[in-house]
Amino acid sequence: MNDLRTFLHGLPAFERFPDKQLDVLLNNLRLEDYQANRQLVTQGSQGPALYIIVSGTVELTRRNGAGESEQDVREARDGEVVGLLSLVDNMPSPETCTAKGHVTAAVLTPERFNTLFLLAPSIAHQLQYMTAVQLARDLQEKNKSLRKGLAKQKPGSLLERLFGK
Amino acid sequence: MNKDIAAEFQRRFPAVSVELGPDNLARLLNACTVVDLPARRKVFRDRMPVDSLYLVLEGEMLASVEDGSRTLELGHVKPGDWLGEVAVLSGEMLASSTVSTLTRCRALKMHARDFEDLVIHDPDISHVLLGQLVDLLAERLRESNASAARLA
Repeated sequence: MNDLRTFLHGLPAFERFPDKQLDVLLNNLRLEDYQANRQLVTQGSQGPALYIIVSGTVELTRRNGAGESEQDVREARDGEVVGLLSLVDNMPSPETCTAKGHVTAAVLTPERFNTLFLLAPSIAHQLQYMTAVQLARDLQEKNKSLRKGLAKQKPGSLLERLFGK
Repeated sequence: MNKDIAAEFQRRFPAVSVELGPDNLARLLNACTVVDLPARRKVFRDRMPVDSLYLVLEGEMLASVEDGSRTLELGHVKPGDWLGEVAVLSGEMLASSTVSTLTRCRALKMHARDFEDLVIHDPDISHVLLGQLVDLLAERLRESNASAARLA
């Protein structure tokens, strides 16, 4: 537990919080190990939890449409957070997160996140800010793919697809 | 900020106003200026720089994405909505859509720097604004997902 406290204190997102607040976060995290190729989050489904990667690499991939191949979005490594949108109700994940090799992660479920608002509100607000930033980035990405979709449309077909004939 | 604007804000953003309380609300409103916009004015142009957020008090706007001559409507913006938060929070500082006024509109305009000051340095205001923004952004992402599904 002390190792994890030291690890969290070294992360930019949590470095400003006092030990007392970090201890509350620690008490609500669960340390888990994942084997290679294990899917932590699946695109299109509500994620089960937020994962703070303690060691290893998680690959984020995205399929932009049915029938399209899966594209690499990025790799997340030690200290990075994936699955933030699991903290938002009714919000399917925009990407799949898969362990690339052995991964150890500190897991925070939505229920435990809600507990933080009562016991460590500053940390809950930090996670809320990170979630808002993630949502804004995903919205930018989604609208970029909408623009690409528009560009592929044949003339005259768009209104029919959106509103029917 | 005069009392009329504070009353108008409380009417259009009742949940935020209650959660903030009078002192925090006054601090938020002091960071804003009132802007009146005529009908058929582009507030944001898709992919163009954004330096401010807007809290809509009156009127109706339309959000859309554009590619060349093609336009896809994303949804209507009404009193009680925010604008510009995607550009600022994503760090891109570029509009994620075109937003045009359909009617005469009135809004509170807040510079991105002032917004970041409030969100980062003022925990009481930050808590309320972030809660609202997460709900709003989630709703907008769901709308964009629905538009993408119709387009597929």
